[in-house]
Amino acid sequence: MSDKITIAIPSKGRLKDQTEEVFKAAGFPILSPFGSRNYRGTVEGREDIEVAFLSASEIARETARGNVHLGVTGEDLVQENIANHEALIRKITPLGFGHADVIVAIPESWIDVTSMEDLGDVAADYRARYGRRLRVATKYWNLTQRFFAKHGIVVYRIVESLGATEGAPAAGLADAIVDITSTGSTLKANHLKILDDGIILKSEANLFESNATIVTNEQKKLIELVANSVMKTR
Amino acid sequence: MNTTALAALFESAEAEPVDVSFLQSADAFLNTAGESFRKRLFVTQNANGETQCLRPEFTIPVCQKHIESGVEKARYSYSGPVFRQRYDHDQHRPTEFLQAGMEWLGETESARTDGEIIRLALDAITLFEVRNPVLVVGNPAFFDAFIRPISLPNIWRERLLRAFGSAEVVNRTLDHMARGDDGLEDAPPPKLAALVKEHDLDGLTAEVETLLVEHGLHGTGGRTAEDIATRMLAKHAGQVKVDDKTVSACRDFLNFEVNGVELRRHVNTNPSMEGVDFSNELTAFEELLEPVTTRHRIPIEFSAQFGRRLDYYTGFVFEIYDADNRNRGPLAGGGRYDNLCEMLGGPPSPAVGFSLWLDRLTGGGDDV
Repeated sequence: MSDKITIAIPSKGRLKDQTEEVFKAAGFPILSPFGSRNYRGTVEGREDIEVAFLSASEIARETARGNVHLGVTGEDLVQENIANHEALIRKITPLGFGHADVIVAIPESWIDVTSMEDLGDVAADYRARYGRRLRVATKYWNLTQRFFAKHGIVVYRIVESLGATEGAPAAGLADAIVDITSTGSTLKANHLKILDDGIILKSEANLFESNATIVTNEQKKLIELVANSVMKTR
Repeated sequence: MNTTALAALFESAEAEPVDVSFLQSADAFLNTAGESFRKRLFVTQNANGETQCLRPEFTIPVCQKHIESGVEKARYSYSGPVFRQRYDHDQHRPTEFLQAGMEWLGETESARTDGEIIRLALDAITLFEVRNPVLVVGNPAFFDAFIRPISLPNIWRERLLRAFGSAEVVNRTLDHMARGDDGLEDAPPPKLAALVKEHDLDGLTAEVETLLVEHGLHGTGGRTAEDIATRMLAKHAGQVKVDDKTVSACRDFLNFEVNGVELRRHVNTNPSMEGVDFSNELTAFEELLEPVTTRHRIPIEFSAQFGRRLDYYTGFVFEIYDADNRNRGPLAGGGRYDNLCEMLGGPPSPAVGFSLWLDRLTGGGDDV
């Protein structure tokens, strides 16, 4: 068995830059020797660490499957995509960037609805009034189902939305949305408001360790070293 | 397994065996049983991108077949494997297991019919080796009758009735009632506060209409300005604290669990039910029990809070357990679901039925 470990980090954008800054500060500067279009990188001076550049949701999945040892990705993606994440993945530390809340938002014009309980009232007789269930546009199927169930809302339908979710109500595709927001400005521009108790998850980027992989003693020590060094930068 | 005897029992009840495809359109389940049922489904897609699923139960597809047939009244029986996703807390349960049962569609609604269905479920149970079967029955009609005479703002009344069937949601609703709000900041937008205070429905409707138009929601087929304004006024009128006596009476009532055979005596001697008129409900309950008790000598529990939180269930519900092994889950369950056929796009039709968990009945190891 190889004693190398693999760390998965976001492949592009601000998340990539901020992750690289953290690892640099931790003493593990990441190199992508063949330019930014390469999907494999290394850590300067460390033959025993490989870096995989993946999309944030791939990182959640690959860490849960044990294909990488450490991964940097959003809490929202782990909770949404990994059914038994408590068993498969261990959160090491939040990294202080990539902040985004997963929220329930409804049209501002629904002046009578400010809480999930109100939304439950509206959902309950939606079918009787308008001939269909209340529709919620989202890409967060699992988070939505769990949160709505917790609030006792049973009858509604999820409409899958893979982009521009905030436009779904005005497009007549949905009545409410579950989406991520960081500043709330997109919601405001679309005349949507967050329910008072409608914050499903306060998410940010985290360093995660896989529980789904068998490691040698050498790998174990190395994972601990990287994890501790990243934690110390916080 | 005693399938021949079971088939004979279904036949003696004049039920026609019906086949249901393994692969079903997921929409019917999600539109009726709700989105929270999705996590239970094994989902796939057909070539057109439509969501299909392995049948998670029989009742809904049997009703769909009934609607397609155009027949008004029929009795159906079924038997075969069903499929459900399992998660952490119920991972020990099988994803594929056997169910059998009956659905009576279009039969005139009566307590007697309800009782016949329970009787047949118990007949079926006796075909297997269950040492100590126990029957649990509930009916939301009792809770309806209990809160009918109580003076309650409509918003709370509806929330309570809707919460019925989940102790957790009922208790949370009662907590909020006792506090007089849902625990959140809830002042109307400043511009509309005066209209709300004066209870000006027309003025408020006009304001909401303007918002709907400005925000591009007018004509999208969703909530109308009048609905929003009406509910806004009802909500603010309803944001009064409900007195503690009423709240604790509701809690007491829902914890009421007694021997069903002596329900009338228990109700008449219970101080928290004094002055409530349960006469219709009690008469119906006794009619329901008659076919059951003439045939079976088993413990019968009436549970005031037992119900299903789905809007197609409309009346009594029941479950049969093995008293020695209640944790294992019900051996049989059923009830009245008069709203289902209409929700599936058919004509309204009275409906009762039950399902048997064959694996549990035959001692198959679903949770050993």
